[in-house]
Amino acid sequence: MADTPVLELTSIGKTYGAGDHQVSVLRGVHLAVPRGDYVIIVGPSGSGKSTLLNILGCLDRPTEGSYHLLGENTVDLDDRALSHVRNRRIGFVFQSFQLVSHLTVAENVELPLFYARVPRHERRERCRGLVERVGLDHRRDHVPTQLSGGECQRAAVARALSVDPALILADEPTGNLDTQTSKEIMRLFAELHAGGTTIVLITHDPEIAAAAPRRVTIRDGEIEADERLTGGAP
Amino acid sequence: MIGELFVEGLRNLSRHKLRSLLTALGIIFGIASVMAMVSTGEGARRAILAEIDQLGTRNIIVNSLEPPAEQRTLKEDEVRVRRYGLTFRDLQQIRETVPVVSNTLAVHDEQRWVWFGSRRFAAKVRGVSTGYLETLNLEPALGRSLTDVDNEQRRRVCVVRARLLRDAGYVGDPLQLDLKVGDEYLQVVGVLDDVEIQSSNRAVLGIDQRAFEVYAPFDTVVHRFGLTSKPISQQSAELTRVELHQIVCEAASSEAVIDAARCIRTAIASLHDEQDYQIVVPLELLASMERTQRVFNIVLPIIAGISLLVGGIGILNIMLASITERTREIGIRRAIGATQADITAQFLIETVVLAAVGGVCGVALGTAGALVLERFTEWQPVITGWAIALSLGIACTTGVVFGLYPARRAARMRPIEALRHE
Repeated sequence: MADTPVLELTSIGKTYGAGDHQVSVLRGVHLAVPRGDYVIIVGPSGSGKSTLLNILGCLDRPTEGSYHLLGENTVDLDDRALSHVRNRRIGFVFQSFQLVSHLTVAENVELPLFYARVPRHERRERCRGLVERVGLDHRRDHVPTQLSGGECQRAAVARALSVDPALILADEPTGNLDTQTSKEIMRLFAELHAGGTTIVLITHDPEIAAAAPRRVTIRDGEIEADERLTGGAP
Repeated sequence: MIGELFVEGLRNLSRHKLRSLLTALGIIFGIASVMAMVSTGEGARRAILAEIDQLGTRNIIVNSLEPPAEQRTLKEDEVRVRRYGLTFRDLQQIRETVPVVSNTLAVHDEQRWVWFGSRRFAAKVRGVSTGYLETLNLEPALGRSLTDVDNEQRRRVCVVRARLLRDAGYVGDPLQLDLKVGDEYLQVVGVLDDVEIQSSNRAVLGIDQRAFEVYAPFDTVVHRFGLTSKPISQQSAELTRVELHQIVCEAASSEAVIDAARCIRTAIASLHDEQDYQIVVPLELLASMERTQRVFNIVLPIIAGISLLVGGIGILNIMLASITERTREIGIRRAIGATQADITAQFLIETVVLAAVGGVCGVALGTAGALVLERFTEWQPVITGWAIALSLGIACTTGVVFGLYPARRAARMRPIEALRHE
């Protein structure tokens, strides 16, 4: 198992529409991410990176190719099984935070555990540790509208970590934040990476892209470059 | 997990209190009307059953009726005796020609003053055949009933109602009381408890609400007071002669009651020129009650169904609006791992909670309505646990039926699109 990559994309293709109106968004994408790696996928808008993210997040299916998550081919799974994969193996961090607006920070962080059928008292306990870890102790009973953008994103990171997923999938996590807060969030990701968490982060911002040891550039639905910047992953 | 969804549902509804209230209004009124209808129906049913029970299902009651007064002015010094109603001839006719009647009881009433010192009360002295009190379930709470010996020896004894003694302020031992009735004295031998008598029942039993009744042996009354009487309170020269005010016929069995009633009708019809009597068959009241009940059983579900349909459509409408409004939330929940079943359960439970809360309010409102009816009308609604359970069951079912479609629709949203929804 140690050798199995966390995720492995093989000849992934995605086309929308049918017949003459077919639009090919992704073509022949190969990507393998080993355990503990930190990959930033960078590309301009329209490059197909959002589609790629949806496929990686099991929110969408590729039209071609196979996607193995922890060695399991997800392409054949039904909706229910995909829900379980999203719940237990993937932690999402979105650009617009995507917190449930009427739930408190603590409740938002607990939500994935609720769907994982974790008993209530255990949820409470795990949630407390996570909220502490992202430094939102004093905000646990606040609702998202009472928080700053940075705090929202920290809550979202805590939520993503709650089920102890194999993969953290972040979609432009700094897109709605100012420079200072962006740095803080990126530092949080760096800390997670240092702790051994596997992270795939998608951005259009080349500056952010320098934060990770591995950078994958995507353009017009194809991978243009896959380079290791510093030292590298284990 | 399910419990938490209920709490969550309740919280969501309380975030929009006014909206939830307005949505539940249809259910509230629907359930309230179901409760009120079931309760008044049940009350009416019990009242009629109690009445029939009191009158006896084997009995046929024939009452004398006073025909409309003739427009003829009396000449000076002329003494006219108005005759109407049942006669000894009728009684004999019934005894001789109606074979299925096992027992006949005669009643002759006399209006007299009952004296307590200088205070007097207008009383109805009822001369009754032996067994009358027993047949109509009037058991003395104190002392004894009237016997054959009382009748044969024309004993001056009587059975009174507790109310008379109470109103008269009599505090001694009732059985020591020699009651002054008109010009006679009757020894009290028994006291009847005050039983609430239904108003329609009074008419059938010939009970005058204003008069107190004193029951005495038939022969005693006829012998002491005579058959011809004049009104006690009015200064009128007109005398009336009614031989029998009531004949109670007991059929041999409840199966024979309807036949017996028909025989009695033909037996006495030939003896009367005008309709100065009335035949009441308690068993027929039962049959007519069952007919009413049948109509009720059809009308009730229709009315309840329509009001709940309206309420349900209100819920459906607001839930569809709600899931559109909460598309993002649904997307988030789906992204972090909620299955379609989880989303369905969440919204279905929220709808059921709304409907159930509406149901509880409806039950409360219906109960309050029933109490108001009880206070201000003659009806006596009876609220049964069964009616409450039925109402809540209907409310929850409405929630499930009308919540299913919005919940399924929420569950089927595509997560990516739901997440992008603004």
